[in-house]
Amino acid sequence: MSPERDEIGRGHELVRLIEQGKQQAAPGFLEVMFFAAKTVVASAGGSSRFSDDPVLVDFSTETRPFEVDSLHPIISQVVSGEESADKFQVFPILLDGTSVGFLIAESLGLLSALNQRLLSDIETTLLRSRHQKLLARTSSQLRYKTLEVESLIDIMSILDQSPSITSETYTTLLFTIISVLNASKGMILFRDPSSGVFSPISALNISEEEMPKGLFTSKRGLLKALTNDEYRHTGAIFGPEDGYSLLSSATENSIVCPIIDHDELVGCVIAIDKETRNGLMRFNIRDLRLCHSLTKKISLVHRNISLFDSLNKSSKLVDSIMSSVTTGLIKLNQLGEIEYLNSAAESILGVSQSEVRDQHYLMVFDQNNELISLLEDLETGPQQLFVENAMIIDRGGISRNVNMTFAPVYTESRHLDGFVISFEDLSALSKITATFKRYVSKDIVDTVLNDSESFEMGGKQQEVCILFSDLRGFTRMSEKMTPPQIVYVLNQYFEVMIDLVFQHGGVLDKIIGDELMVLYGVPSKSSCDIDNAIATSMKMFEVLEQLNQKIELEGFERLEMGIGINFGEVVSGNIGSTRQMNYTVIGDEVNLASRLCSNALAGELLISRSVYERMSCERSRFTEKTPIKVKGKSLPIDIWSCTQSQR
Amino acid sequence: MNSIINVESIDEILVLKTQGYLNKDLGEEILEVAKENIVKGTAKIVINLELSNIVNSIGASIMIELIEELQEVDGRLAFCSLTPIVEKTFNIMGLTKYCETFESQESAIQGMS
Repeated sequence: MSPERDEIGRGHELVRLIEQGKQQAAPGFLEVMFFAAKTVVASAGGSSRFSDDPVLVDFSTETRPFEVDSLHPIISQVVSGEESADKFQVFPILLDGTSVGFLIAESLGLLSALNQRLLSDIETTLLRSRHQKLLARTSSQLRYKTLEVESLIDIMSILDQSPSITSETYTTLLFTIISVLNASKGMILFRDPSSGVFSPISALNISEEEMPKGLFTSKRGLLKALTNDEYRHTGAIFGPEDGYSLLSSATENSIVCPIIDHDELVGCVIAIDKETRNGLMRFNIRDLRLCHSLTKKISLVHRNISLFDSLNKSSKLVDSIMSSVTTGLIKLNQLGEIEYLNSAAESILGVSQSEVRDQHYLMVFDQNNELISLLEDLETGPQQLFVENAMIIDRGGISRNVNMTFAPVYTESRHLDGFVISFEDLSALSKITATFKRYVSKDIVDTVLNDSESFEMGGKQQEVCILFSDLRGFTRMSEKMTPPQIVYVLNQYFEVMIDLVFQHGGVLDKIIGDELMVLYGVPSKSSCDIDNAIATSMKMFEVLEQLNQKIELEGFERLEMGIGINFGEVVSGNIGSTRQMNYTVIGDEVNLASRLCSNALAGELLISRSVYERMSCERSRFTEKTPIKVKGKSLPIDIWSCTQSQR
Repeated sequence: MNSIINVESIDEILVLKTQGYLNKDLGEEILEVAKENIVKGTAKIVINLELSNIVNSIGASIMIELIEELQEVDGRLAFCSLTPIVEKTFNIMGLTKYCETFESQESAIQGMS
């Protein structure tokens, strides 16, 4: 190792030693001289005639004492021409085997003990100085390394703590990178995902005037260069000579490292001009490697965050789909723990997701032995299973009927990954059905629920038995009653009458004021339709009598009712609009039934010939009456009557 | 940008408040102002880095030079309101072995008095 100029020329201790040596040196001591690169860099001693002129003589290979005469360039600087001595002894001062200077004495034979000691002290001091300097340099390098390692840790820590990368996060990242690189300034650019334009998301020490202006995309300029294979995996150092406008504020050079996500350039880190104590200098490959390592962490986290965002979006999509599904869904993992349940399942089981998630099904379904038993069976032999109309008891002890489907779930490698259980809540359907049945007969309800085509508009011709009933004189009666009383009496009447209709298989077509229109033989025809209509009528009169006894006690007048029944071909079906439709029948035979009802006296049932001829029982109770003329019929209509006395 | 935004003397302590990147430029600006005051007899300096949340090793090494200057006059240097990253850099650079750090300017002045 060749000695450095300051290694020899500086150092108070060395100067002190030389001065000491001068005082204590044996007779003959003249001078100590130090050289570096053939040049005298320091001297001390007896001669006051030392010249500052460089001595371009290389003595570095002289490792043994030698003698020179006064004409030698070295000696000529030490000793003036006035000195008489013409021979001098030169003792090399060695540092790591290399001569770095000389102790010069008059040629008196052997070196005196004092001069010998001075020479030894000088060499020891030089060696110690070199070691101290090496130590200081190593220590400084260690500090820089520590800073680099710490900055890596800092960046990972910043990124770990951020659930998403915000502009504040980028600023902190930029500061860390710029600081550790000793860069003068820098910025981070990011791509707008929709426009593809890159713009600074964070900048340090870049003035408004220096901020890049214009539109930057990966199709041209610096960003295009970064997409090249040459730079995309390593980053690059560019100087002003490369002419990139994004780096126009650089004096020396800039490091540019790409941020890559899914193999696409999404941003870059730019560090401009390296600072030293003596001014700006150019970044080197080592700086580039460090910057690239730090930027790679950003790329990695950016990718993770975009994956996480994508996963979140998918998860939210699944959640919103699942929450809109009315079927309860539960996913059990391989251990039988609940991994997921949708809101319908929460409602059916009376639990919340947070409460049962990761719980074993034994804990959650503790009141449902049938379900536990099914799951235990499935665990031993996975298979798809459908259980109809099973009873489930929820956490609140409320039971409900459900249809259950069990389906094993497999991983891509065909290993069992758990089960999905779906619960179709039948209670809601039952409720709708029950409510529906209050308004129409069971047959209509079942037809509508079971036959999707039943909702179609249009009709078909079919034979139907039509019953009309009407209260006689109710309008007159109601004039004496308050509206709540009218509603009360009518509700009492309809309650019992409609029950009877349904009991006899009738379909309540409509209620018009105090009139009931009831159909038999729709939607499905039976051989008993006419008999059922007659039986309903008979029963209606009987029940009306019981009702009258009740309401008379309550202070109301008796109700009187007339009924007309006809049978014939009508058009039946859904009539109305797609927004509101009624299942009903229309046609002449319907009108005739209504006319018969209008002609019936209080307590009288009038039937047409078609009914009379088709009824299989109780015909004896009917007597033929004088045919009547009805609107819309050219010929008189044959009618049969059954009055209270005949029933 | 990077600069000294306030210079004041409190209880014979020179208090400098900076903003921006403590790099070579700001470091040299601090050193210059400090030297001017040291010549005039100032021996205690507090540097408030509340608005300087980034430092590089060049800035830190200039602060070491300032400490050396102050040692010549038996003076002291203290920093206050350091962000964790700046404090960490100072620690790594060995700066905090030769000066004190305080949480606030008030506590720094109190500590230096």
